[in-house]
Amino acid sequence: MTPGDGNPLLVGERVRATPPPTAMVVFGGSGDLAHRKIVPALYNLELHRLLPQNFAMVGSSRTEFTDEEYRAHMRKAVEEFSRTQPIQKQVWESFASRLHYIAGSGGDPDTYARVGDLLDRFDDEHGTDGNRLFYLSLIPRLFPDAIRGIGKSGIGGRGWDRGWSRVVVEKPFGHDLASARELQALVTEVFPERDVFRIDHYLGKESVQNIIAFRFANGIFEPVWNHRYVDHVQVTVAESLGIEHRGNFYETAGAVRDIIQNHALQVLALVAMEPPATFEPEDVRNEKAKVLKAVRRIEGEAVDRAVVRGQYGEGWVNGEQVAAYRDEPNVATGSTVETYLAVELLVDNWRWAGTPFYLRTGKRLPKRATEVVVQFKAAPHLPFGEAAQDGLEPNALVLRIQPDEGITMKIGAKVPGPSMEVRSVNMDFSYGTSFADDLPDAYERLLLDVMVGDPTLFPRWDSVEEAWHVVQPILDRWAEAPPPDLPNYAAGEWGPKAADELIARHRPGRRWRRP
Amino acid sequence: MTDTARRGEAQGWALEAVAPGEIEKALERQRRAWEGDQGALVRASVANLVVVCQDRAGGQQALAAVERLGPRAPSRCVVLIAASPEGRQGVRAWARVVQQDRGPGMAWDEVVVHATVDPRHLTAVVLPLLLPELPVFTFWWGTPPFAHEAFDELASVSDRLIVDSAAFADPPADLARLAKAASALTAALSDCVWQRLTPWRELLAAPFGGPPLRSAVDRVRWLRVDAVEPTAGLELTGWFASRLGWALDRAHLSGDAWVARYATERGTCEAHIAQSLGSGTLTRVDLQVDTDDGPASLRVEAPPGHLVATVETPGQATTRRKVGLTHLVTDPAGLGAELEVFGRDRVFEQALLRAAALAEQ
Repeated sequence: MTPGDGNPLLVGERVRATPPPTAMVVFGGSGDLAHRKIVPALYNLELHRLLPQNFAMVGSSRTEFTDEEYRAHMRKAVEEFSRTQPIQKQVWESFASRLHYIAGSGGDPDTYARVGDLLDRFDDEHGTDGNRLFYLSLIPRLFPDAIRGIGKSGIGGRGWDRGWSRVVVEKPFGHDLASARELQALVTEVFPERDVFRIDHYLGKESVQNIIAFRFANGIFEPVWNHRYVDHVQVTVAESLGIEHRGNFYETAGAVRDIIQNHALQVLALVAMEPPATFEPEDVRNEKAKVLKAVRRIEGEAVDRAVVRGQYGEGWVNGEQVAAYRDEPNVATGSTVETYLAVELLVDNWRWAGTPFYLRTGKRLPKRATEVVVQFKAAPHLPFGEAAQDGLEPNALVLRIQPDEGITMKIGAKVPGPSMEVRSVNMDFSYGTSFADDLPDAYERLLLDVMVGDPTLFPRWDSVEEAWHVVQPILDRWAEAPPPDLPNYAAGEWGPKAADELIARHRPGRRWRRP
Repeated sequence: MTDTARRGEAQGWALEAVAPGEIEKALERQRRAWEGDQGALVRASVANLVVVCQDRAGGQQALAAVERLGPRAPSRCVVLIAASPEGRQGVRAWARVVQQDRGPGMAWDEVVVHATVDPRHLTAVVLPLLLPELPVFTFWWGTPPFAHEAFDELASVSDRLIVDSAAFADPPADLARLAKAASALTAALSDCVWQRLTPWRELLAAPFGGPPLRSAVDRVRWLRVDAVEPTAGLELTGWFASRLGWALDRAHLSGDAWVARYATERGTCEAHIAQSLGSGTLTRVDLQVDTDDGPASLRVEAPPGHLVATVETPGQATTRRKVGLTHLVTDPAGLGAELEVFGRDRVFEQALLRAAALAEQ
């Protein structure tokens, strides 16, 4: 034991090391994300004794609240959205006593001065040690004001020397490649890259992290994890919900910006990347950036062949009749914004040359499901006779990310009986049955990582830029080419027929797995 | 007895009486019966859990405890009632498939074996019942026979040996015996009491991670532990002593309290471990710490359902933090959490040695 070299009491198997003292500022503190995710996640961290002892938070938005009103507002949020229920009154009250609120405009320097004064008070009263976490829970057009405000007021960013200061930026990081670069320039003018945490909550999900564990903790898969054995890979991010009153946002985003540029390409990177030498943040992030750089850009007319865009019409989902996208609130009558996208990508490197990766995402599909399918090639020769193997398909490995987190392996097995008949059966691993504890919410994990300064699960700028490089030519082509007839799929269907043709275009018989 | 054995009528167990050699068949048949009624079952197992107890009452208690764990740590559970082999020797067994009431048809196995055999042969009774290649956790209900061959044999086939020192017949003395036996064990060792101390240790450690106590962790001057479970007080004190490098100077019993003085790197620390009444493990821990600005105090208390940590430091407002005791409902003994630990817990082993040194006074 060497007192002074850290805290000797926080060593050992079971005592979980909590992050260092932290003062957190949530810009957009009364908004939807703070309400649904951030504050419930903080409450659950406190409930599980994972927040630092020295912690305090201030929310800031334009809405007028006193501290007490803000706490009451957030209590309702936690009562509604916390994954643990019912909320524990004593724990909430203790936690809430460290919640504060400052009403103010993001463009007003006085807001940042008052936030800075409160943060100084946190250091004195809560022992937060000068460590500052700025969470930009804002719509993207408000990012610049907040970042400039932090920088000009000197409450954090470069030059801050009373502790660490980090900024969390919500997706989407930019609207296109050019605006992403502008935002990056602005953010890094105030914060060095090492202190910028671009949050993609998908990467905080246990089942997404399990892709890394599955690939790199199981030696038997690595030899077949390449173009010689894998026929193709599918990444599906399906939602049964529509746009849920987010018409204003969705009209400027669409499926490409909302899902493909971030979630789907980040998942592709985890599936396709080379094994990192260590699990050190930069080793993992280097490999992800390399594989995204190897994704072949689809340009010009090739976009028309390799990408299918769709938009839902009216239909039925989960037994309820639902409106067409164009009839949703705040959506233009003749909107051509895509609510569905399927794309065929190739990864031009030694491992994956010639193996297509099919990504698809959509709103108002039959069910909510996110999964990765690694479809293996068929056995080179089947000796059983045609009739005996009717029900046999090539092996497939399904990594289920949500909602039923787990892994399915499709294998061939003999049908019991006197004859040699084989058919495909599923071998299932379910998180819910082997690790039946409630899984922590992705935001809990990611907030802790920001506090301890671990960026492994946060996309680095080069990954974000490479992802924009992949999707920007698609957006450019769409800007000049006429859209297909939209809507082209009914709510409650698995997307446009053209998506089925896309996956089968190089090899008849390829089909989307039905989740 | 064949696989047409009677259901639910033996020994008060809601299990099926089966011949020891027919256990796997009976479980398979029960699984198929479940599936016939309710669709496919997922047989989930993350470990083998062997619970050793001495009599039927202990077996019933053990079964009740592990049933709560099923959904959290689905395991092949073997309750071994190692009865004294006086008179006629024999082995009787009961088995059942337990289905979880949530999740996708998840089920696990419970087997009860009543063995009146020479203790040397208990291992032979257990080994055929273990699922292959899964770790073996052996939970000894009550006081293990530390100097007995049966203890060594069963420990030798276990990856982890778990005890609950609160259930020892003579907790302080048996804790000292456990510490001695631990040195010869190849299996990792756990004490559920140690697990139940985890939230206490987290709350006691956390204030030393930031100001104003960060630089004062080596200046603890006074420690008082009010312990409902005496071994919890000893282990907590042992933890402080081992982590902070305290050397036991002298100790004695005063009534039913231990009073000890430790030499620390920056002076001395007086420790008092008093018995307390309550429903948990400890009821209160007080620390007094010297800081650059004067004496500070840290107190953790246990009102129902949560813990409260209070820090008072010179010139600063008192801070009070309340946190939850999660898992208390589903895993009150802490056994489930023990099933999630695989390697040796060196911090516990070191704390146990210091606790035993105190217990022997």
